[in-house]
Amino acid sequence: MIGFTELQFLWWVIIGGVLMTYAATAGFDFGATMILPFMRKEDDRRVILNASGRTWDGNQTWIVFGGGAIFVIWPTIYAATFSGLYAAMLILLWSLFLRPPGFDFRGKINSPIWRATWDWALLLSAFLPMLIFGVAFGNLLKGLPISFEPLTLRSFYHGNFWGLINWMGIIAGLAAIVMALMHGAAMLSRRTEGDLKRRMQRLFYVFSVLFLVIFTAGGFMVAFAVKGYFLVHSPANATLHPLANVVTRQTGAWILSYAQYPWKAAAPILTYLAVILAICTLRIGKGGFAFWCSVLAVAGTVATAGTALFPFIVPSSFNAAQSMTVWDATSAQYTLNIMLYVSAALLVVITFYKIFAYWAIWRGKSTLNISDVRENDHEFY
Amino acid sequence: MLPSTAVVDVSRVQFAFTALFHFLFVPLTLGLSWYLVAMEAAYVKTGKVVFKDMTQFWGKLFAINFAIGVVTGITMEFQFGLNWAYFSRFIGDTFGTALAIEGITAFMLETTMLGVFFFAWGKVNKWVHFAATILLAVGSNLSILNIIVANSWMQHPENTVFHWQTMTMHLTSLWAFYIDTLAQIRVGHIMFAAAMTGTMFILGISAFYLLKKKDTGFAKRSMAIAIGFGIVAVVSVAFFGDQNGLAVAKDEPAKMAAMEGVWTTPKAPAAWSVIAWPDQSKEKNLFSLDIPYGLSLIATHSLTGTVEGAKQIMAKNKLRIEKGISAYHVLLKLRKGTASAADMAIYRTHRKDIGYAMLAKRYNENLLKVTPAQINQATRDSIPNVFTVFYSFRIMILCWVLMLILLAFGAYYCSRRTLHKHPWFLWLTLLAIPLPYLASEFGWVVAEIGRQPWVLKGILPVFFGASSLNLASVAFSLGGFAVLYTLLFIVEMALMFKFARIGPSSMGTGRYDGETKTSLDQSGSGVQQ
Repeated sequence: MIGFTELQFLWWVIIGGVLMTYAATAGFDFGATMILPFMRKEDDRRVILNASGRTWDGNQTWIVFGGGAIFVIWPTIYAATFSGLYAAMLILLWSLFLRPPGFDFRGKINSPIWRATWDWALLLSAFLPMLIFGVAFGNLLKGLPISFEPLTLRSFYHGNFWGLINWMGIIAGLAAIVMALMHGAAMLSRRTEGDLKRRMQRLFYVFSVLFLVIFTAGGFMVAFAVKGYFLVHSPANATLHPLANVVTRQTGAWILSYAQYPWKAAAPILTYLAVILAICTLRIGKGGFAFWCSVLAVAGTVATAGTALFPFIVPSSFNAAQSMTVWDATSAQYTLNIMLYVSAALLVVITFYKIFAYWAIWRGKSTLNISDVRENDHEFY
Repeated sequence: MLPSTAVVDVSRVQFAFTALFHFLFVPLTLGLSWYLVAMEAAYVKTGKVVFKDMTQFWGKLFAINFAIGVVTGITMEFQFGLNWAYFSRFIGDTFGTALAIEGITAFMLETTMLGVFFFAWGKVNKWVHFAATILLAVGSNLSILNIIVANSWMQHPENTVFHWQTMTMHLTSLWAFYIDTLAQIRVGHIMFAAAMTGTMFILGISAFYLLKKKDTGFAKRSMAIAIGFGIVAVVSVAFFGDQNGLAVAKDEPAKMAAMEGVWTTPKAPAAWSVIAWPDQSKEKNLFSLDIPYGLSLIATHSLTGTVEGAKQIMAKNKLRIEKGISAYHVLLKLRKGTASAADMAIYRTHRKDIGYAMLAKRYNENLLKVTPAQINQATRDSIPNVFTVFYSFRIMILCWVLMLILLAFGAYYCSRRTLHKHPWFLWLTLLAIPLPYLASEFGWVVAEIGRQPWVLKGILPVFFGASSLNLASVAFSLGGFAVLYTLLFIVEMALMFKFARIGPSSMGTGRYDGETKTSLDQSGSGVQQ
């Protein structure tokens, strides 16, 4: 078996990687469906819908992978946050409800009212989840009011939904939405043609600059307005027992932790570089390259939020000693180890069939226009 | 501080509602996926375009159903954490593995291949497309495998140990967890039950076309495939169901007693009550109609075996509650770090009964001060509601019998090539579409109500597993689910009826009744190959 500490760290990396993949794939679908209702012509809407729709289902599934992995690897976090953030999680879930029927049912009836309804449903089903993901990450930086009853380890949440609405949460929520819009525009610049493509490129410039501004503002908030956490000491072998950490709090502690773990700085640097490179390459007409830069920018953003918290995962603002960290939130060694083997093998398989699926669907022609959609009128969305 | 009874009850209603609703869509996805494979196999082998049209048409209905299946499935993954936080934390190490593996293997494969199935017709070689369709079916069915492995472990928690240091269940062997006999039997039972749903769905809709005398060639071919599959499925589902019964009789005596309405252990050979009126408070059947020897034969496949009565089970459970309370005290001392060697001896002897002691927590949070009356109340809670389980089981069986009769007639008419000449048979087949759904839903009720009061049998009572939420939150979410699911259901059914009624002409290939060929897009993929 692999050492326990190594496993705990490795799983933190893997779950982070899955969430990054989710944001970088489902992210452009979210962005595309937020742009969609603002197109005046039905033709443009259908092109956008089909540029994203034929692979969106597989992209969305990364959240199921992420959720499942958090359940098995960090059961305490899964239990305490899902029940604690009850209303926010329900809004997330309910807005995701609109997505499969939005894609699948929209094209099945040829009525403008029916289709417009689903367009706005798709907008909501992208806007609300991104908002909630962002707000949740923003609030993780402030800590959540979670506590544990020491004998049975039952978790309690000492707050409500409105407690999540604060400046840090709002800025992170805006950053997430603009990030998705930027990424969606990057994908559509690559996958569409003609006038629509030019409009998407212009949107990309707007959203990418806006994103950099909000991302930077978030950084300033974290440095000067948020009371971060610092892990002084955690008990050895504290598996699933987040009760006895020694934690101090001070404003800017998250930024100070970059001195302790200099490798964390890679994430925000990657984000800045990738966005700037994406803007430059799109200007010289390299849409495919710009899209991949946007992928890195999105992954970098998620990584920035996740690594800033390290070694915490969910700090507790109610009782900082009961914060959940990489070292005390995991399941037992056997499960971590066997799940590592299982998921490593399966990730290889997934990579191959994902490449196959994208190859099969975009084969021959890597962009889409309205006549392509019309030719396959009975199959396409 | 445990969540209130009202919070637990509303959480249970919400879980039951969302799970039963999800299970309206799952069996059809599973069952139809194999039909898509069979139909496309026929197309790949014969090259006849009608088989391709069949694959695409039934695939269209598959997609409408699948969309709602996905929506309601994500709910389930959220809901463990939302409403059953203590349970989730307690079992994440074990149950979580199956759920995560389901996400990684099954759902991922299924959703990715769905895109290939619908959008790569004509873009890739037909063998490659066929391979994607097979992977779609495999993905769908891997999903039920993982979920049933997880659920079977909740019914019969083996291959795990309780760890007092972390208050969680630790997995001892992933392999043993997956190849557990009960899980394997139930996977077989549910996969064939799903095949029955696919069968009755295709039969019913095809019968409608025959009654309307449209697309008869298409409909008869669909029916022939469905009847062939259906005969295999209707026999296999019964075989696995019977094996499941044997396993329940052995490992889950309380569920067996409830399924058969047995209050007092009868002498072998025991009689089977075809119908009865079980009364939980009087602990007896007010009325019953018995078949001699039946119960011993059904439950044990012998004339010497018998089924343990609910009253005998409760007497045993009472002893376990009492023993468990002493072990529970030691557990608290262990958690506080004050347990002595003598305490440890008690713990080791009675730790298997701690879950039973927790049943009494519903009546007194302080188990040190629990009264004999409270122990009696907890004992009465330790068996499921007999009436519900008894009748759910019988409804499931009745649906099976009706489907068996229909399929037998279908096979006979099909072999005589006279399917279209029996309108009463076609009408009954159309009206029989709900039967497999009823059977699946009631089968699920037998399994889940039959497990009460446990969320993890013998270890964690349901009320203990609930999240510490307030009543308003849970009521709000239940209301939200009710409204949203109703709307989704209406939209789904409207589309399903619309496309089922239009039939294969909805694909616009120009080859089916009710199409005017000139108005159709001749460059569509239907003509490409």
